[in-house]
Amino acid sequence: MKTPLVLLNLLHQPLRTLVALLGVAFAILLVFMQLGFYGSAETASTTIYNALDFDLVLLSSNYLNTTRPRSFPRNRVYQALQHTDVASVSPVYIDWQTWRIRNRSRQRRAILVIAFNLDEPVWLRERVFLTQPAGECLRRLHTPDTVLMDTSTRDYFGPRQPGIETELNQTTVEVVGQFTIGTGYGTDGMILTSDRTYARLTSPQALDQPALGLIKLKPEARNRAASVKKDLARTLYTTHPRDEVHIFTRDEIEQRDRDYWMHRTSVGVIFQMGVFVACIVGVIFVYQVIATDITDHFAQYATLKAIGYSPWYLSGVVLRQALALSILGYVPALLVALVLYELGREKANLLLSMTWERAVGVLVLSIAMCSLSGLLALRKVKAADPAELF
Amino acid sequence: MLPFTRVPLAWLNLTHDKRRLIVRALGVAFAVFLMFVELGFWNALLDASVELIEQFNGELILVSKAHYAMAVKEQFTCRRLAQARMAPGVRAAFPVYLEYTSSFWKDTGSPEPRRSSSHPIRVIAFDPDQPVLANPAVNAHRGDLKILFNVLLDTKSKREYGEIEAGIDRELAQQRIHVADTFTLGTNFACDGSVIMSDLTYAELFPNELSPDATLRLADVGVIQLKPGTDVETARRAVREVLPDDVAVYTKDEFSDIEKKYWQNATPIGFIFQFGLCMGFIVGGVICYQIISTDVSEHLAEFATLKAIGYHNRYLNWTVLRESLWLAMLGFVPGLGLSWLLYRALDAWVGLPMYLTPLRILLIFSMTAIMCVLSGLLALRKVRTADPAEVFG
Repeated sequence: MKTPLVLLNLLHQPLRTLVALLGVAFAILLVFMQLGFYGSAETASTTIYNALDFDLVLLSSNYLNTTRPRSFPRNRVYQALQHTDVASVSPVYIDWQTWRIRNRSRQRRAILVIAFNLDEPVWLRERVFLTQPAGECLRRLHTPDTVLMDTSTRDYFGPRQPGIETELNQTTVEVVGQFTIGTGYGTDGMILTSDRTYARLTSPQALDQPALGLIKLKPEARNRAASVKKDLARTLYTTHPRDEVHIFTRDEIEQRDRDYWMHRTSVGVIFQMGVFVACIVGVIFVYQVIATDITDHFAQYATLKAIGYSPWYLSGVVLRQALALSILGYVPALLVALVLYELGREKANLLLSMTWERAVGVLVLSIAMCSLSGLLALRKVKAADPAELF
Repeated sequence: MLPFTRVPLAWLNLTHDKRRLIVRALGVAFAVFLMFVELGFWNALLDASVELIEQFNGELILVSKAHYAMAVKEQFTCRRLAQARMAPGVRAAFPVYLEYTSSFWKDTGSPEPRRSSSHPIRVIAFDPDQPVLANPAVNAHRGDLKILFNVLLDTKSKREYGEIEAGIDRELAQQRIHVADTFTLGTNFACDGSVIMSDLTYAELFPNELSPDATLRLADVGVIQLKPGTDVETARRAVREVLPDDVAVYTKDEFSDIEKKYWQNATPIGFIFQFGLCMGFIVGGVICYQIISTDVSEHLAEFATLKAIGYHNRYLNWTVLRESLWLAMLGFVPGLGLSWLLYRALDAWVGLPMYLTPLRILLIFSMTAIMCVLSGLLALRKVRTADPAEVFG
């Protein structure tokens, strides 16, 4: 092809092309944002598990989600330890406590407290202690009545930076560091503490009732977690009434929590609608932009046809133009989406993050939308009668 | 100059091609629909959290000073209610007992024994002799609640609670209870279902850990009914005066607002739906601009002719603006209709409380009008450059 028709078409009226690009970019941005919101709700439902180091987990059969886990008898932990493939079982305690706001109002607010044995490496440290060395933070927790504060705890909990002293369940505690797990729809504030401090906050008996039992398998057994789980389930379910404790693999429990938030609460329905609406708006927008462009060049296309170019050639031109528009619109949309994701993280504590799957998926989607719209609009040109034009 | 009201040019411009008019109105209607959907979801989530408050049968609400959200237990002594009854203008004051966390409901009717795990359900308890809730179904069956361990179950409760029908026996807080009948309330961020029971049943199921006899002496919410014709604000001040400051007195609307504000801040829904609303606005603006600017370009010859025979730019501007306002109105009506249908459908299928209040309708209408006028203003620039000489050149 000697004449770069696509390029000339796009450059012929730069302002028009710019407007078309903005239209395509806006449509792609919408899809990015709605997918981001949907994804944030999904991520938020498994934040606590993402931060924990385990292969299998023991839970109460009355478990609802991580913010309302209930508890099971601790002797189950020892029972699980007897299995030859199990390297360690660490109990984790989760409960709501009342936090006294350190300002004039002196109000109390419920906050989620997660407690664990400091000698057991329960956390995936690089995911939890982003801002300071993990070892230092965890070492400070050895002092009784000290806690760590989640960085995404809402502002209405009042002053909560390291060094602040306040009451937790009528016991004075000191905030000695920060961590980042992230709060979702189930909780608005979170605290980490040692099991000993937890016993002082609640009661010594509380340590007999963990909420989670994190099972780590020996390295050689890791790739057959599912079969170990079946094995363990058999021993755990037969020695005691089976509806007291449940055992899940990491994938299973994450899927269960996602399922809870995305399908059993209204949150999921709303985000699915959002993605659906964004896609429809995207298609309509892109079609408008491309169809307008083709209609504007109607006479030119008809002329090309009249002087003997095949419909295939015309389709090729339109498709290449659609491809150019979709890629040129995709780049600014991706950049703006990244900025808005950042804004959502900062301002609304939304767990927005761009995944490779989403970035690539949306690129494919936008190319498909643009090509399809182009081809649809081309039907008009194919039907064009050169004689009529003049 | 001719008075320009004689020929409704804007209207004629818009309506001379009927088929086109429909497409255009639908374009704007789509944007209106989009904004309604976003606003509707946002409000549904917040409205759902105050459904119970709205049904309290009183004008004033009494809660502990420490109260900040319904799902978090902050109780106050019932003595405050007795004191409130002394205030001028007060007809009655009822204690309401709530339980969100330790009230585990076990679906003992499910066939597979392993699936019978239990889930917390919201418990609402009060004296069945008093009309504490303004809910016809509840009031019709209040008498049944007088029998100990009889409860009413919310039909909108989620499916993990199992069957929802009158006459079944289930387990609540490890005790056997009887579902005497059903009523309709709805779920929200804090609960997936509700039951109503008498205060005496409540005391049996959820006794105060420290002193079981004192269970009913601590209320979660106090509902205060005023004598007919009493000014709410005056009554509130009167009640406030007779009570010490360990409790707070709110009007029902204020109390609803506190609850909504809590969920607005505790969850990221505000950010998400404000974004959605802006998106609808921008989409609508672009559609409107497309329509109006196409229309202007197509009628450029006519506009230029008008100019040539002596009409001012101002008249032409005004015509374009009126055209965009007409478009706003013509698009708004079907948009509103479509949204209403979707609202009813979601209400029926998903159980989300989707309300079209006059204020919300007004808000979306203003946004539609602003969006159309803004795009009209943008399209105006073309009219101004219409040069009669060029058109007929």
